[in-house]
Amino acid sequence: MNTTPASGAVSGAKLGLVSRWVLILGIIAAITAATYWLHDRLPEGDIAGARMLAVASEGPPPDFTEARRVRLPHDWHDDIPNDVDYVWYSVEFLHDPAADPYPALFVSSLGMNARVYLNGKLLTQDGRMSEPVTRNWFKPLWHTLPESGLRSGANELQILVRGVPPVGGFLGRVYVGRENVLRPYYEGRYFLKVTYMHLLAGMSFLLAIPTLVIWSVRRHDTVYLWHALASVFSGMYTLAISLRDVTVPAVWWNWFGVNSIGWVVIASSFLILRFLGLRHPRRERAMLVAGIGGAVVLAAVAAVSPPWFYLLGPRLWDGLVLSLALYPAWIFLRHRFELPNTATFWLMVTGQSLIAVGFHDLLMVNRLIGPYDGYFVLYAGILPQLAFAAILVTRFLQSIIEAETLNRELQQRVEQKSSELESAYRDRGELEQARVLAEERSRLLMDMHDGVGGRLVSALARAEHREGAAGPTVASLREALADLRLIIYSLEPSADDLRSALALLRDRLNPACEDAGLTMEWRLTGLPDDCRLGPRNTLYVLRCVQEAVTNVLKHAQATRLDIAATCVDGEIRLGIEDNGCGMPESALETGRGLANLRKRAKALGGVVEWLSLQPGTAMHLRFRWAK
Amino acid sequence: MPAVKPVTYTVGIVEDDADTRGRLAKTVQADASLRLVGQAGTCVQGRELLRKIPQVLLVDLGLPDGDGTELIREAAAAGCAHIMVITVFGDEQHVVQAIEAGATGYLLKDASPRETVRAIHDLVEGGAPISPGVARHLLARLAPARPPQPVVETSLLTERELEILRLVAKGLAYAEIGALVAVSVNTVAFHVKQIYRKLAVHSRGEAVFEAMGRGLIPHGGPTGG
Repeated sequence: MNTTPASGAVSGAKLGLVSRWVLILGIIAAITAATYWLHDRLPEGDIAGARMLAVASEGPPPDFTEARRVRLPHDWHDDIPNDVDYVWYSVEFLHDPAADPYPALFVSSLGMNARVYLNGKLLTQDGRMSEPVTRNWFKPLWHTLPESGLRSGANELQILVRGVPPVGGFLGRVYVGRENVLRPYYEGRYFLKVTYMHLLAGMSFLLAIPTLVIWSVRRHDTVYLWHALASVFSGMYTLAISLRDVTVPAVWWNWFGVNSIGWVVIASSFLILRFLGLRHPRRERAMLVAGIGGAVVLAAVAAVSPPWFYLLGPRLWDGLVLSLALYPAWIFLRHRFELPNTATFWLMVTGQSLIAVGFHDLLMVNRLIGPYDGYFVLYAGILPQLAFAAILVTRFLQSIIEAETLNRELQQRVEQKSSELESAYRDRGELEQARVLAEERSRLLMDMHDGVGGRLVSALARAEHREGAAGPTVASLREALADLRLIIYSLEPSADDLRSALALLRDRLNPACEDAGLTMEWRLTGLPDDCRLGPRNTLYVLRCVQEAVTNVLKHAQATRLDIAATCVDGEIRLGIEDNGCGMPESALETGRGLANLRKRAKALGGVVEWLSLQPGTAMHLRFRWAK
Repeated sequence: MPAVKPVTYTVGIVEDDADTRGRLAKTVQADASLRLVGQAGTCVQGRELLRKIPQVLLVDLGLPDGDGTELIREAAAAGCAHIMVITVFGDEQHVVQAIEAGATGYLLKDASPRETVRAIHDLVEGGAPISPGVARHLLARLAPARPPQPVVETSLLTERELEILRLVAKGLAYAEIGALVAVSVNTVAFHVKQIYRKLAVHSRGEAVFEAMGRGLIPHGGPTGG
C-alpha cells in the first residue's frame, strides 16, 4: 500500500476531495429532500387533525366524545405516558360518491402496527396486534375504502395503533383521496421502507461473501474477516429494523437490534484499524469486552425487566455505540493521508454521508424531529461497506496480479539464471578439461625433458664423441629427437593453429639451413588465423614439412628454399620449392622419405605431388580443411 | 698473436648431464671469441660459478639439487648480462619459465657447435629468438587485450614492441616482420630482447608484490630489483 504519497499529491487530493465533497453533500441533501417530499403533504386528501384516546387494551372502537384533539402526524412521546400499549385515533372525512366513488386510505407511517375501522366496521389489520406484535415500524398502510361501508358526506375512520412501551408509538399522516393520486406515494414509500430495506439486508450479507472467501484463503489478513463481520452485523441490524414478522417478544428483538448495531461499530473499528495496519491491543480488548459484556448484561436486564431494558438499551447503549462510532471515524481521519487517494476519497465520502444520516437519526431518537421517517442510517450504512468491499477486493486482485507478475519475472529470472548457470557449468567443464589436458601435457613434457629427451641428447653427445657428427647413430638420434620435438610442437596449446605450429618448426629448422647455406623464405600469411587442424593432423603437416626440408638439405644442394602456405576454398596448399639439383625419377619410386610423405598426406586425407622445376624441385601438399 | 685482440665473451655452463656439459664446453672452448670461465653440474656449484660473473651463462633448468630458474634469477641479480636456458625441446613452458626468471635466450641441447656459437653471438650482439607461443604468452602477460585497462598494462611495452609481439604471435618470421614494420631483422631481434628484459622485471615485480602481500618483505619496498 502506498503509505507516503508526495505532499503535492496530498494537497491536490485535498482540493479534489473538497470539490467532490460538495457534490456528494448535494446528492445526500437531494435524497433527504426526496424522502421528505414523499412524506410531505400530498396534493389531496390530507387529514390534518384527529381525536386521540389512549387505552389499556384492545377492543372495539370507543366513544371519542371525551377524546383529545391532536394534529397528525402524532407522536405519543409528546403527550402520552410511557407505559401505554394502545392509542385510538378518530379521523373524519367527507365522501362524495359522485366525485370519487372508490376513495383510498393511505397512512404514511406506522409505529408500530394498526387496525382500521371504517364507520365502526373493521376495515383492515396487518398482522398481530398483541405480542409478538407484527413489526410495521415506519411502514405505510394502504387500503381502498369499500363502497358499501361508505356514507355520503361525513365518514369516520377509527385507527387503533399498537406501540411498544416505553419506546412509544405514533401515527403518520393520514390521507383519504383518489386512488390514482395516492397510490404512487404509497408505492414509493413502500419501496423505501420495505423492499429497499430487504435489498439492503441482502446486499450486506452478499458483501460479506467475497471478503469472507478471501479471508478463508488468507487467514492472517484479518481485515477481510472484519469487513465480512461488519457487513453481516449490518445486515442483521437492517433485518432487526425492517423484518415484519418475528416470533420473539419485542424486547428480545430489540436486544438483537441493539447488539447488531453495537457489533457493526466494533467490527468497523477493527476493520479500519486492520486496513491501516494498526494494532491497539488494549483498545481492541476493551471493545470486544464491551461488545460481549454489553450483550450479556442487556440480555440479563431484558429477562428481568423489559422496561429497564428499554431504558438501558435504546438510550444508554445507543449513546455508547454512537460515541464508539466516533472512534473509527477519528482513526480514519488521523491516517487518511496514508491511504491511496481513491480509497481515501470513497471512504470519506461514504463516511460523511453516514455522519449526515446519523445526525438525522440522532435528532429522531431524541425526538427533536418526528420519528415518522424511520432510521436513515441503514440507507447510508451500506455505502462504506460497499466502498470497503470494492477497495479490499481491488487490493486483493491487485496483489494477485502483482504476485503473478512477480512470479512471471521470477520464473524468467530463474530460467535465465539456470541457463547462465548451465552455460557457466559447460564452460567450466570445458575449461576443466582444457586444464586437465594442459596439466597432463605439462607433466609429459617434464618427463620427456628429464627422461627420454635428456637421455637422447646425452646419447647424442656420446655418439658424436665416438663416431663424429656424421655417424649413423648420430643421424638416427637426431631424427628421433626431431620427431619428438614435432610431437611436442603439435601439442603446444598456443600453437594450435597451423601457422603458429609452422612458425615453431621454422625456428627449429633455421639453424640447420643456415649451416647448410640454405636461405629459407616462408610465406604463411595466406593461412587464416583460425586454421586449427588438431594435434594429430598438425603433427602430420609438421612431419611432412620437416621431411621435405630434410630431403632438400640432404640431397638438393640448393641455396634457396621457398615455403608457402595458403588456404583456397577450404583446401590447404603447402608448397615447398628449392632451386637445387632436382630429383631423379627413381627417387619417386624408391625413396623412403617420399613414401613416408605420401603416407602422411594420405593420413591427412590429401595428396602430395612433386614437380621438376628448372632448376630445382617443387613439392605440393594439398588437403581439405573444414572449420 | 693477432695485432688486435678480438672481443671475447666469458661463458659459464650449468648443466647436470656430464656428456652434454662436456660437449657444450668443448664447443665454447673451440671458439676463439668465447672464453669458458667455469662449469657446474649443480645449483651449488652454479652459485660458485656466479662469483666469476660470466657475461654469458648457459643454464639447464632441471638441476639435481634445485631449480635452474632460481639460479637464473641470481645470475641476473649478480650481473650476468646474457643468460641462455639450455632446453631439450625449446618448448614454450620451459622458455617462458626461464624468460620470466631473467633469461633472454635459449639454446637447444643438441644444437650443433656452429649453432651454439651462433646463438651465443646472436644473443650478445643482437637480439633474441622468440616463438609464436612465447610471443602470445608475453602478450597475454604484458598486454591483456581487454579494453578496460589497456593504458596501464600496455605502458610496460612500447607500441612498436607490442606490434612486433603481435606479428610474432601470428607466426611471422623476423624478416617478414622487419619488412612489414620497415626495420631491419636485427632491430626486430633487439626489440624482442628488450621485451624479455621487461618481462623479467615485470615478473620480479609481481614476485615482490606477492611477497609483500604475504608479509615476506616489509612494505618499505625492496631496493634494486
